[in-house]
Amino acid sequence: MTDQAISTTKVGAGKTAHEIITPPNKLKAKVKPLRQRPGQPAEDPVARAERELKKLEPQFEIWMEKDIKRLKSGWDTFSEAVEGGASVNSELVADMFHAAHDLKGQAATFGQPYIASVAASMCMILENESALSIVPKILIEQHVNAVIAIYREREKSHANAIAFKLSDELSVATKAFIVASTPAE
Amino acid sequence: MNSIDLSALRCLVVDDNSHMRRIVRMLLHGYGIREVIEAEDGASGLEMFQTNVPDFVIVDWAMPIFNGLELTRMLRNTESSINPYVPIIMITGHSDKKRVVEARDAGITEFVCKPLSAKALYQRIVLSVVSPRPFIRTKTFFGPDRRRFTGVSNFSGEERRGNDATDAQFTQIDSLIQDQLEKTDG
Repeated sequence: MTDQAISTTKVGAGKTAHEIITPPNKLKAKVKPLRQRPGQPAEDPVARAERELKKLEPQFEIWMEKDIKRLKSGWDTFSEAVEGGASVNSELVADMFHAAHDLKGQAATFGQPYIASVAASMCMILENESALSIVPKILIEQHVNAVIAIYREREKSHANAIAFKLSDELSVATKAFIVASTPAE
Repeated sequence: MNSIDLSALRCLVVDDNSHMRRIVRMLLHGYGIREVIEAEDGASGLEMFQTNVPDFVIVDWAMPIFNGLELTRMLRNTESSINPYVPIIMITGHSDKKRVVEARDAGITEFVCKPLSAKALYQRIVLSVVSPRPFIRTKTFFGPDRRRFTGVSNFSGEERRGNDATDAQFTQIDSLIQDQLEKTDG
Protein backbone atom coordinates (compact mmCIF):
# COMPACT_ATOMS: atom_id res chain seq x y z
CA MET A 1 0.00 0.00 0.00
CA THR A 2 1.17 3.53 -0.68
CA ASP A 3 0.58 6.59 1.44
CA GLN A 4 0.13 8.88 -1.56
CA ALA A 5 -2.47 11.60 -1.08
CA ILE A 6 -5.58 11.98 -3.23
CA SER A 7 -5.00 14.54 -5.94
CA THR A 8 -7.94 16.81 -6.81
CA THR A 9 -8.14 19.30 -9.68
CA LYS A 10 -11.03 21.74 -10.08
CA VAL A 11 -11.99 22.31 -13.71
CA GLY A 12 -14.49 24.62 -15.44
CA ALA A 13 -17.13 26.87 -13.92
CA GLY A 14 -20.91 27.03 -13.65
CA LYS A 15 -22.69 24.11 -15.29
CA THR A 16 -19.50 22.45 -16.46
CA ALA A 17 -17.70 22.75 -13.10
CA HIS A 18 -16.28 19.46 -11.92
CA GLU A 19 -13.45 17.95 -9.94
CA ILE A 20 -11.03 15.38 -11.28
CA ILE A 21 -9.95 13.18 -8.42
CA THR A 22 -7.03 10.79 -8.70
CA PRO A 23 -6.94 8.50 -5.69
CA PRO A 24 -3.67 6.62 -5.06
CA ASN A 25 -3.78 3.22 -6.72
CA LYS A 26 -3.22 1.01 -3.69
CA LEU A 27 -4.24 -2.12 -5.59
CA LYS A 28 -1.41 -1.92 -8.10
CA ALA A 29 0.99 -2.85 -5.32
CA LYS A 30 -0.99 -6.06 -4.73
CA VAL A 31 -0.72 -7.38 -8.30
CA LYS A 32 2.24 -8.31 -10.45
CA PRO A 33 2.85 -9.93 -13.82
CA LEU A 34 2.80 -13.72 -13.68
CA ARG A 35 6.34 -14.96 -14.21
CA GLN A 36 6.96 -18.01 -16.33
CA ARG A 37 8.96 -20.66 -14.49
CA PRO A 38 11.92 -22.01 -16.44
CA GLY A 39 10.96 -25.13 -18.37
CA GLN A 40 7.25 -24.73 -17.49
CA PRO A 41 4.47 -23.64 -19.84
CA ALA A 42 3.23 -20.06 -19.27
CA GLU A 43 0.36 -19.84 -16.80
CA ASP A 44 -2.90 -18.64 -18.31
CA PRO A 45 -5.39 -17.51 -15.63
CA VAL A 46 -8.25 -17.43 -18.14
CA ALA A 47 -7.63 -21.05 -19.24
CA ARG A 48 -7.38 -22.05 -15.58
CA ALA A 49 -10.69 -20.29 -14.83
CA GLU A 50 -12.33 -22.08 -17.76
CA ARG A 51 -11.10 -25.40 -16.35
CA GLU A 52 -12.54 -24.48 -12.94
CA LEU A 53 -15.87 -23.62 -14.56
CA LYS A 54 -15.89 -27.00 -16.33
CA LYS A 55 -15.86 -28.68 -12.92
CA LEU A 56 -19.33 -27.23 -12.34
CA GLU A 57 -20.81 -28.78 -15.48
CA PRO A 58 -22.35 -31.77 -13.66
CA GLN A 59 -24.40 -29.21 -11.66
CA PHE A 60 -25.71 -27.40 -14.73
CA GLU A 61 -28.59 -29.84 -15.44
CA ILE A 62 -29.81 -29.64 -11.85
CA TRP A 63 -29.64 -25.84 -11.91
CA MET A 64 -31.42 -25.62 -15.29
CA GLU A 65 -34.23 -27.85 -14.04
CA LYS A 66 -34.64 -25.70 -10.93
CA ASP A 67 -34.80 -22.49 -12.99
CA ILE A 68 -37.30 -23.98 -15.45
CA LYS A 69 -39.51 -25.11 -12.55
CA ARG A 70 -39.44 -21.54 -11.19
CA LEU A 71 -40.45 -20.22 -14.60
CA LYS A 72 -43.36 -22.66 -14.86
CA SER A 73 -44.47 -21.91 -11.33
CA GLY A 74 -44.32 -18.15 -12.06
CA TRP A 75 -46.44 -18.72 -15.17
CA ASP A 76 -49.02 -20.83 -13.25
CA THR A 77 -49.40 -18.13 -10.59
CA PHE A 78 -49.71 -15.40 -13.23
CA SER A 79 -52.16 -17.37 -15.31
CA GLU A 80 -54.42 -18.17 -12.35
CA ALA A 81 -54.41 -14.54 -11.23
CA VAL A 82 -55.35 -13.28 -14.71
CA GLU A 83 -58.14 -15.85 -14.98
CA GLY A 84 -59.35 -14.62 -11.60
CA GLY A 85 -59.64 -11.10 -13.02
CA ALA A 86 -56.32 -9.56 -11.91
CA SER A 87 -54.93 -6.86 -14.17
CA VAL A 88 -51.62 -7.53 -15.89
CA ASN A 89 -48.79 -5.43 -14.49
CA SER A 90 -45.11 -5.74 -13.63
CA GLU A 91 -45.85 -6.81 -10.06
CA LEU A 92 -47.96 -9.72 -11.25
CA VAL A 93 -45.22 -10.98 -13.58
CA ALA A 94 -42.34 -10.37 -11.11
CA ASP A 95 -41.65 -14.03 -10.22
CA MET A 96 -41.92 -15.14 -13.83
CA PHE A 97 -39.66 -12.26 -14.91
CA HIS A 98 -36.95 -13.11 -12.37
CA ALA A 99 -36.89 -16.73 -13.50
CA ALA A 100 -36.79 -15.68 -17.19
CA HIS A 101 -34.07 -13.13 -16.43
CA ASP A 102 -31.93 -15.76 -14.68
CA LEU A 103 -32.38 -18.15 -17.61
CA LYS A 104 -31.49 -15.40 -20.05
CA GLY A 105 -28.23 -14.77 -18.19
CA GLN A 106 -27.26 -18.32 -17.31
CA ALA A 107 -28.68 -20.80 -19.81
CA ALA A 108 -25.92 -20.19 -22.37
CA THR A 109 -23.29 -20.83 -19.67
CA PHE A 110 -25.19 -24.05 -18.89
CA GLY A 111 -24.92 -25.10 -22.56
CA GLN A 112 -28.48 -24.08 -23.58
CA PRO A 113 -28.12 -20.99 -25.81
CA TYR A 114 -31.57 -21.33 -27.40
CA ILE A 115 -33.22 -21.32 -23.98
CA ALA A 116 -31.26 -18.14 -23.21
CA SER A 117 -32.58 -16.67 -26.43
CA VAL A 118 -36.24 -17.58 -25.71
CA ALA A 119 -35.84 -16.23 -22.16
CA ALA A 120 -34.39 -12.99 -23.56
CA SER A 121 -37.43 -12.60 -25.81
CA MET A 122 -39.71 -13.26 -22.85
CA CYS A 123 -37.88 -10.63 -20.75
CA MET A 124 -38.48 -8.07 -23.51
CA ILE A 125 -42.21 -8.53 -22.97
CA LEU A 126 -42.21 -8.83 -19.19
CA GLU A 127 -40.05 -5.79 -18.46
CA ASN A 128 -41.95 -3.51 -20.79
CA GLU A 129 -45.22 -2.28 -19.22
CA SER A 130 -46.68 -1.02 -22.49
CA ALA A 131 -45.84 -4.24 -24.37
CA LEU A 132 -47.24 -6.24 -21.48
CA SER A 133 -50.56 -4.47 -21.81
CA ILE A 134 -51.04 -5.52 -25.46
CA VAL A 135 -49.28 -8.89 -25.70
CA PRO A 136 -51.74 -11.78 -25.80
CA LYS A 137 -51.36 -14.14 -22.86
CA ILE A 138 -50.79 -17.02 -25.26
CA LEU A 139 -47.49 -15.52 -26.45
CA ILE A 140 -46.16 -15.55 -22.89
CA GLU A 141 -47.37 -19.13 -22.49
CA GLN A 142 -45.65 -20.09 -25.74
CA HIS A 143 -42.35 -18.78 -24.40
CA VAL A 144 -42.72 -20.88 -21.23
CA ASN A 145 -43.65 -23.96 -23.24
CA ALA A 146 -40.77 -23.38 -25.66
CA VAL A 147 -38.26 -23.32 -22.78
CA ILE A 148 -39.71 -26.56 -21.40
CA ALA A 149 -39.76 -28.24 -24.83
CA ILE A 150 -36.25 -27.18 -25.85
CA TYR A 151 -34.86 -28.49 -22.60
CA ARG A 152 -36.83 -31.76 -22.72
CA GLU A 153 -35.85 -32.49 -26.34
CA ARG A 154 -32.23 -31.29 -26.02
CA GLU A 155 -30.62 -34.66 -26.72
CA LYS A 156 -32.69 -35.63 -29.75
CA SER A 157 -31.36 -35.31 -33.29
CA HIS A 158 -32.43 -32.08 -35.02
CA ALA A 159 -33.19 -30.60 -31.58
CA ASN A 160 -30.95 -27.62 -32.29
CA ALA A 161 -32.58 -26.85 -35.63
CA ILE A 162 -36.04 -26.88 -34.07
CA ALA A 163 -34.88 -24.88 -31.06
CA PHE A 164 -33.33 -22.27 -33.37
CA LYS A 165 -36.54 -21.97 -35.40
CA LEU A 166 -38.66 -21.75 -32.27
CA SER A 167 -36.54 -19.06 -30.61
CA ASP A 168 -36.39 -17.12 -33.86
CA GLU A 169 -40.19 -17.21 -34.40
CA LEU A 170 -40.87 -16.14 -30.81
CA SER A 171 -38.36 -13.32 -31.07
CA VAL A 172 -39.95 -12.03 -34.30
CA ALA A 173 -43.45 -12.15 -32.78
CA THR A 174 -42.24 -10.38 -29.62
CA LYS A 175 -40.46 -7.64 -31.53
CA ALA A 176 -43.61 -6.93 -33.52
CA PHE A 177 -45.51 -6.32 -30.27
CA ILE A 178 -42.70 -4.20 -28.86
CA VAL A 179 -42.79 -2.01 -31.97
CA ALA A 180 -46.60 -1.80 -31.86
CA SER A 181 -46.52 -0.78 -28.19
CA THR A 182 -43.90 1.95 -28.68
CA PRO A 183 -45.51 5.37 -29.05
CA ALA A 184 -44.61 7.14 -32.32
CA GLU A 185 -42.23 10.09 -31.83
CA MET B 1 -3.34 -10.97 -23.19
CA ASN B 2 -1.19 -9.98 -20.19
CA SER B 3 -1.28 -12.50 -17.37
CA ILE B 4 -1.44 -10.87 -13.97
CA ASP B 5 -1.09 -12.44 -10.56
CA LEU B 6 -4.28 -11.41 -8.73
CA SER B 7 -3.84 -13.80 -5.80
CA ALA B 8 -3.40 -11.06 -3.17
CA LEU B 9 -6.78 -9.47 -3.94
CA ARG B 10 -9.95 -9.83 -1.89
CA CYS B 11 -13.27 -9.76 -3.73
CA LEU B 12 -16.87 -9.29 -2.63
CA VAL B 13 -19.52 -10.91 -4.86
CA VAL B 14 -23.09 -9.64 -4.38
CA ASP B 15 -25.70 -11.64 -6.29
CA ASP B 16 -29.03 -13.07 -5.18
CA ASN B 17 -28.61 -16.07 -7.48
CA SER B 18 -26.61 -18.80 -5.76
CA HIS B 19 -25.73 -20.49 -9.07
CA MET B 20 -24.22 -17.31 -10.43
CA ARG B 21 -22.30 -16.68 -7.19
CA ARG B 22 -20.83 -20.17 -7.47
CA ILE B 23 -19.86 -19.62 -11.13
CA VAL B 24 -18.20 -16.29 -10.33
CA ARG B 25 -16.37 -17.77 -7.34
CA MET B 26 -15.00 -20.61 -9.49
CA LEU B 27 -13.79 -18.11 -12.10
CA LEU B 28 -12.14 -15.96 -9.44
CA HIS B 29 -10.41 -19.00 -7.96
CA GLY B 30 -9.24 -19.84 -11.47
CA TYR B 31 -7.66 -16.37 -11.72
CA GLY B 32 -5.82 -17.15 -8.49
CA ILE B 33 -8.03 -15.07 -6.15
CA ARG B 34 -8.56 -17.07 -2.96
CA GLU B 35 -10.38 -14.53 -0.78
CA VAL B 36 -13.92 -14.36 -2.10
CA ILE B 37 -16.69 -13.06 0.15
CA GLU B 38 -20.30 -13.56 -0.89
CA ALA B 39 -23.54 -11.71 -0.15
CA GLU B 40 -27.00 -12.56 -1.47
CA ASP B 41 -28.61 -9.13 -1.41
CA GLY B 42 -27.70 -5.47 -1.45
CA ALA B 43 -28.15 -4.95 2.30
CA SER B 44 -25.83 -7.76 3.36
CA GLY B 45 -23.49 -6.73 0.53
CA LEU B 46 -23.17 -3.28 2.07
CA GLU B 47 -22.51 -4.75 5.51
CA MET B 48 -19.87 -7.17 4.14
CA PHE B 49 -18.24 -4.32 2.27
CA GLN B 50 -17.91 -2.15 5.36
CA THR B 51 -16.58 -4.97 7.54
CA ASN B 52 -14.33 -6.85 5.09
CA VAL B 53 -13.00 -3.93 3.00
CA PRO B 54 -12.67 -5.87 -0.28
CA ASP B 55 -10.27 -4.72 -3.01
CA PHE B 56 -13.02 -4.88 -5.62
CA VAL B 57 -16.72 -5.70 -5.81
CA ILE B 58 -18.75 -7.70 -8.30
CA VAL B 59 -22.48 -6.92 -8.28
CA ASP B 60 -25.57 -8.13 -10.03
CA TRP B 61 -28.19 -5.61 -11.15
CA ALA B 62 -31.49 -7.18 -10.06
CA MET B 63 -31.46 -8.07 -6.36
CA PRO B 64 -33.89 -7.94 -3.44
CA ILE B 65 -33.87 -5.24 -0.71
CA PHE B 66 -31.81 -2.90 -2.83
CA ASN B 67 -30.47 -3.57 -6.27
CA GLY B 68 -26.97 -3.33 -7.73
CA LEU B 69 -27.37 0.31 -8.73
CA GLU B 70 -28.60 1.36 -5.30
CA LEU B 71 -25.76 -0.57 -3.67
CA THR B 72 -23.26 1.12 -6.00
CA ARG B 73 -24.56 4.57 -5.03
CA MET B 74 -24.10 3.66 -1.35
CA LEU B 75 -20.57 2.35 -1.93
CA ARG B 76 -19.73 5.59 -3.77
CA ASN B 77 -21.09 7.77 -0.95
CA THR B 78 -18.04 9.68 0.25
CA GLU B 79 -19.69 10.47 3.60
CA SER B 80 -20.46 6.90 4.64
CA SER B 81 -18.50 4.45 2.51
CA ILE B 82 -15.30 2.94 3.82
CA ASN B 83 -13.84 3.12 0.28
CA PRO B 84 -15.81 5.21 -2.26
CA TYR B 85 -13.11 4.57 -4.91
CA VAL B 86 -13.46 0.78 -4.88
CA PRO B 87 -13.66 -0.80 -8.37
CA ILE B 88 -17.21 -2.09 -8.93
CA ILE B 89 -17.85 -4.55 -11.75
CA MET B 90 -21.46 -5.18 -12.70
CA ILE B 91 -22.41 -8.54 -14.23
CA THR B 92 -25.88 -8.47 -15.69
CA GLY B 93 -28.26 -9.88 -18.26
CA HIS B 94 -29.27 -6.32 -19.17
CA SER B 95 -27.26 -5.40 -22.24
CA ASP B 96 -29.10 -2.50 -23.87
CA LYS B 97 -27.32 0.83 -24.07
CA LYS B 98 -29.81 2.60 -21.81
CA ARG B 99 -28.96 0.18 -18.99
CA VAL B 100 -25.21 0.51 -19.55
CA VAL B 101 -25.50 4.30 -19.33
CA GLU B 102 -27.64 4.01 -16.18
CA ALA B 103 -24.99 1.77 -14.58
CA ARG B 104 -22.17 4.17 -15.49
CA ASP B 105 -24.17 7.05 -14.05
CA ALA B 106 -24.52 5.18 -10.76
CA GLY B 107 -20.73 4.87 -10.57
CA ILE B 108 -20.07 1.38 -11.94
CA THR B 109 -16.44 0.91 -12.98
CA GLU B 110 -16.91 -1.89 -15.53
CA PHE B 111 -19.91 -3.66 -17.04
CA VAL B 112 -19.94 -7.34 -18.09
CA CYS B 113 -22.89 -8.77 -19.98
CA LYS B 114 -24.09 -12.34 -19.54
CA PRO B 115 -23.41 -14.97 -20.73
CA LEU B 116 -20.34 -14.56 -18.62
CA SER B 117 -17.00 -15.43 -20.17
CA ALA B 118 -13.82 -16.12 -18.22
CA LYS B 119 -11.89 -13.79 -20.52
CA ALA B 120 -14.29 -10.83 -20.28
CA LEU B 121 -14.40 -10.89 -16.48
CA TYR B 122 -10.62 -11.27 -16.20
CA GLN B 123 -10.03 -8.32 -18.53
CA ARG B 124 -12.38 -6.10 -16.54
CA ILE B 125 -10.76 -7.01 -13.21
CA VAL B 126 -7.24 -6.44 -14.51
CA LEU B 127 -8.22 -3.16 -16.11
CA SER B 128 -9.94 -1.87 -12.94
CA VAL B 129 -7.05 -2.82 -10.71
CA VAL B 130 -4.03 -2.01 -12.83
CA SER B 131 -5.19 1.02 -14.72
CA PRO B 132 -8.08 2.70 -12.89
CA ARG B 133 -9.69 5.80 -14.35
CA PRO B 134 -9.67 9.02 -12.35
CA PHE B 135 -12.86 9.91 -10.52
CA ILE B 136 -15.09 12.80 -11.49
CA ARG B 137 -17.31 14.77 -9.14
CA THR B 138 -20.02 17.04 -10.49
CA LYS B 139 -23.21 18.31 -8.85
CA THR B 140 -25.00 15.16 -9.97
CA PHE B 141 -22.31 12.51 -10.34
CA PHE B 142 -19.48 10.91 -8.43
CA GLY B 143 -17.68 7.96 -9.94
CA PRO B 144 -15.02 6.78 -12.36
CA ASP B 145 -14.56 8.99 -15.42
CA ARG B 146 -17.27 7.86 -17.83
CA ARG B 147 -15.08 8.46 -20.86
CA ARG B 148 -12.85 5.42 -21.08
CA PHE B 149 -10.25 6.27 -23.66
CA THR B 150 -10.17 10.01 -24.10
CA GLY B 151 -8.06 12.52 -22.21
CA VAL B 152 -9.57 14.10 -19.11
CA SER B 153 -8.66 17.54 -20.42
CA ASN B 154 -11.31 17.17 -23.15
CA PHE B 155 -14.11 17.08 -20.59
CA SER B 156 -16.66 19.76 -21.38
CA GLY B 157 -19.78 19.09 -19.39
CA GLU B 158 -21.27 17.01 -16.66
CA GLU B 159 -23.10 14.57 -18.92
CA ARG B 160 -20.21 13.63 -21.22
CA ARG B 161 -19.65 9.89 -21.46
CA GLY B 162 -17.38 7.51 -23.31
CA ASN B 163 -18.27 4.63 -25.58
CA ASP B 164 -18.44 1.02 -24.55
CA ALA B 165 -15.33 -1.06 -25.00
CA THR B 166 -15.23 -3.38 -27.99
CA ASP B 167 -12.91 -6.32 -28.54
CA ALA B 168 -10.69 -4.10 -30.71
CA GLN B 169 -10.36 -1.67 -27.85
CA PHE B 170 -9.10 -4.42 -25.59
CA THR B 171 -5.90 -4.45 -27.63
CA GLN B 172 -5.50 -0.84 -26.56
CA ILE B 173 -6.31 -1.82 -22.97
CA ASP B 174 -3.69 -4.56 -23.10
CA SER B 175 -0.92 -2.17 -24.05
CA LEU B 176 -2.14 0.25 -21.38
CA ILE B 177 -1.91 -2.49 -18.77
CA GLN B 178 1.56 -3.43 -19.99
CA ASP B 179 2.66 0.21 -19.61
CA GLN B 180 1.24 0.39 -16.11
CA LEU B 181 2.90 -2.84 -15.03
CA GLU B 182 6.24 -1.74 -16.39
CA LYS B 183 5.88 1.40 -14.27
CA THR B 184 5.09 -0.79 -11.22
CA ASP B 185 8.12 -2.98 -11.93
CA GLY B 186 10.30 0.08 -12.25
